[in-house]
Amino acid sequence: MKQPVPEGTLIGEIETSLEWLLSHTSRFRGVILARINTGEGFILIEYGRPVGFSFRMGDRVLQGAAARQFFERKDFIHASLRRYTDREFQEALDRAGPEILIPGAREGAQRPTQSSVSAPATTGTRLSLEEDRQSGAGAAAERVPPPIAIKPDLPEEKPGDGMTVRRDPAPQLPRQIPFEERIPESILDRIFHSPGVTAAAIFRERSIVDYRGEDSLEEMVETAEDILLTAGEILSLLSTGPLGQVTLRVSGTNVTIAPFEDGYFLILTEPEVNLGQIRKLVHDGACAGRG
Amino acid sequence: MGASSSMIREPGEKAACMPVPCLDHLLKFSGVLCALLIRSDGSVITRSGFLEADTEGLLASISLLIAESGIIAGRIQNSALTQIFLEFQNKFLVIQEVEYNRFLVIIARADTNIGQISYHLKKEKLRPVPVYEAAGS
Repeated sequence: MKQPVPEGTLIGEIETSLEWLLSHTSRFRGVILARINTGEGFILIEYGRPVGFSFRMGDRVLQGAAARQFFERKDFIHASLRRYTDREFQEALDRAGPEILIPGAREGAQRPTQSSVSAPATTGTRLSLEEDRQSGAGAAAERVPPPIAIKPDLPEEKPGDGMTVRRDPAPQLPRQIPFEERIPESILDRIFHSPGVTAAAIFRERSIVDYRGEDSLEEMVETAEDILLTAGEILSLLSTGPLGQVTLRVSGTNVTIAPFEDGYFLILTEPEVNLGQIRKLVHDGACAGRG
Repeated sequence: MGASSSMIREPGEKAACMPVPCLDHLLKFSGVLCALLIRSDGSVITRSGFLEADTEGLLASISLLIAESGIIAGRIQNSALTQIFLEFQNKFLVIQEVEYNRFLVIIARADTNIGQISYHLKKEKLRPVPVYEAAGS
């Protein structure tokens, strides 16, 4: 089915209940593309407030409060979260039409304050420059929410009947960790000082947020994001579960790209460092940020 | 690589043929679901194992991934790309260049011993695949 709303920027997928989704999207503005075994739809979210609902089951379409009630009755929704800019959000509202709206839902909805969503001052000058550049360009200096991008498990399609069968009786929901509690600077230092690492960076939206080692990483970021998009396509085709990491073995260097928070690690290692060590490095780096 | 006796003639490659390798030996490793030998444009030379996914779409994505990874490799002192490793929660995918424009793709479950497979590929001297001149050329 062609989505009646803009594509937005994918920030992750999860299988969980509507209640959980709504309680963990206070800093998220965008769309949740929802899939259930009987059909698919979407939920427009504006900083924690569900603004509109729509769900299609064959020729039948539920909208607004009826769709919301339908979602509420489901224990699990396969949700793909896509962040919107101001323009995309407005476009989504225009395209979806007034029928999907929940009356009064948009009243009082506001963007979280900068202090409540930005990284601590220790994040470094590159982050500040990035934010300056964004605001200078008139772009919203928003940040995406903490990682709800972890999908505990993928449903298995039972052949023939189209029903979804879960492997686990209940999803293991990721722990919500406020961005402020993490210090990307120290995480990067920790990774960079690991044996065999020659450079490390955190990037987001085609820009380096912070880095250690070679500054040539900047040149790779754009292609790295393209690779992540392609990996996303493979993910959807192979029912692989969420992405752990991408490692490119290039003669003389390993290049690893791995999800971290609302962005990604880009790590260069010496060729002697094996995949298991890189995996541990990324895992430890992420854990370090959680204190 | 356990090359079979059959040969493949490459389109546009005048009189140059190469053996079609048999990839079945890779399926002996626990967790390996499918192995394919492809060209960089995603066309399949040979395959073993069963793939449930939309194969054409998958090969198009893999082809794109190879191209994008090549760009990254080029930015690192013009180095050559030797392997792409994608690790997902439930599966992993290894793409290894075995010769110019020949890539071995292995799709396996996450619990597969990738080290064992890498060792096997090295031991079997998968790289490079010999190219034979066609008879009469």
